Amino acid sequence: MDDLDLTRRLLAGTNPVPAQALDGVADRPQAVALRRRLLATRRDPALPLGPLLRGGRRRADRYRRRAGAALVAVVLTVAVVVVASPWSTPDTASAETPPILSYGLVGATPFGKAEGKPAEATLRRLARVAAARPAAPHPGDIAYVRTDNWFFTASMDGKTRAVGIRPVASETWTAPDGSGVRHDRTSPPLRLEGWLPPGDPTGTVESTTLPAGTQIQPTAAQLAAAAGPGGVRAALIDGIGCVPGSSEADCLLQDIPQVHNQQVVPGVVDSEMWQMLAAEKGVVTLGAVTDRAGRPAIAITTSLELVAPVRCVLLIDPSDGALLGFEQVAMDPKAGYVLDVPAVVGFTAYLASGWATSLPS
Amino acid sequence: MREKQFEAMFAELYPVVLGYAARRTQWHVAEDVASQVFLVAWHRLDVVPDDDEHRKAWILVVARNVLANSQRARLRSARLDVRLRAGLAAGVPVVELDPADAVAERLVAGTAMRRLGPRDQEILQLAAWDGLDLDGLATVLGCSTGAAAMRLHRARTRLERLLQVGSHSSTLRPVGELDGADDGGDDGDATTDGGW
Repeated sequence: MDDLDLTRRLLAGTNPVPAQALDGVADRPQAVALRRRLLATRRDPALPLGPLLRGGRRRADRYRRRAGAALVAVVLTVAVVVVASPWSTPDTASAETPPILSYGLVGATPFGKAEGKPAEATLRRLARVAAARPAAPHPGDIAYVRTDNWFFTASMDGKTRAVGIRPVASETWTAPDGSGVRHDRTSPPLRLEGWLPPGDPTGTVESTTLPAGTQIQPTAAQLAAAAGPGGVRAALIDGIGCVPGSSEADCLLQDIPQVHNQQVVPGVVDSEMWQMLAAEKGVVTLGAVTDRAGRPAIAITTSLELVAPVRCVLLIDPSDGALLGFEQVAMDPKAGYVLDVPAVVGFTAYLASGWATSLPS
Repeated sequence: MREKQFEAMFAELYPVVLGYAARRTQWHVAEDVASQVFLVAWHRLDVVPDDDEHRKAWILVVARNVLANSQRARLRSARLDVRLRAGLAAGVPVVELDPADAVAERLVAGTAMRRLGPRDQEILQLAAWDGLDLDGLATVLGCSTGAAAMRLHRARTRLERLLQVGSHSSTLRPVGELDGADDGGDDGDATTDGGW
């Protein structure tokens, strides 16, 4: 086995964007539009592109780097002139929030007008693969869940409005009686270009002890014991409730992540949830998407006619029917975010879940 | 004729370029990088290699330069992560902080790789993530095939050494250890979303 093979074995599983996540990207509307724009552009082989065509430098060369930077500025200027802003996505309503994900069935349609397609068949397929998912090993009764979350944050200081994305990395350990421990590492709001502001780079960690009986959402065990998809639906609506004025489909989409936030959800329970949504009026799919952790997913949300002020988009793993995360997109100024809508106001990625033998000390 | 050649190259290499950039930066920045790379390719079709492997390496050279330039431009205008500064100082584009990192960090190898120097990281990533062979590595890194082989060997050895140290000292258990199952993140196991 040579160094190439050994390297690939050592780093197996670390690739943040596997090749499979890129299937079909050249046929997506944005890529097709780019190709058309370029083909409609008059070629100029005399453009000074040399620095961009050279392999890595063998040694540091300050002069060449500066010359390269100057030429790149020329190239970028030409690019902006020749290709009039080809990389601004039309459905990013506000420059202050993260871009809306590129959903396969949305394409060039503004997200605020993206109807999607009926999700029944898709959800039934997801339910089948979820039902076939093997159960996680069960060495103990403590459910462990790790998530990365990002929340929209805005503050006013005089006439200045500071807007950012606040990342919160959470770990929860939950015992069968509902007691548990939660660790939240809250970092300062990210700049909108995605970088942390100066200061404490690690953020602050807050540990919360949850006494038994304080959690309202049904446990995975209770959902597993519920009688079929209808029982799961009733357990969610009765247990978590519904914001007044919201449709039940919208409530269910909001409720499902609350179960996953602290529970190890078996495949059979996910399967019943997807079956339940398949029968729900107003649930649509926005197609395939790559989530913010680079994983392929299927997007499920509510149809526009349900008029949810904040549209919740569930991202489900097509290979095993597991919930990978969810996105919150403000669709209506009434949502109260003081933003141009539609705009992403939060997202959560489920990164790990499993059973542990004890709560953390 | 040129149009047909470009369309074929676009279909073949757009995922390669987008993937290369998306592994190292945020998705929307990666799309910008891909746009610029193919703008360059369109204007310089006359120098695009004919054979598949050299064409892939050629376009990754362009992608590497465009990405590094993009990161340098942001370095001048924004406060950036210290690792990015270190990578740019070494003349290589690096993997930025983004949500994808959280997934990589659950794997011991991903964490250990971050402790390597930017040049070591780059050659390991080009080999493991972007699938380049030694000729491709040499083209992208601007060195001879022999030098690329030596650099890869040294980087891989250093990574192994860190992994051995990490396996004795790490207090963080990866996901697979927690639930006793394999991580399941191996590329070969990933399922496409085709047909959904």
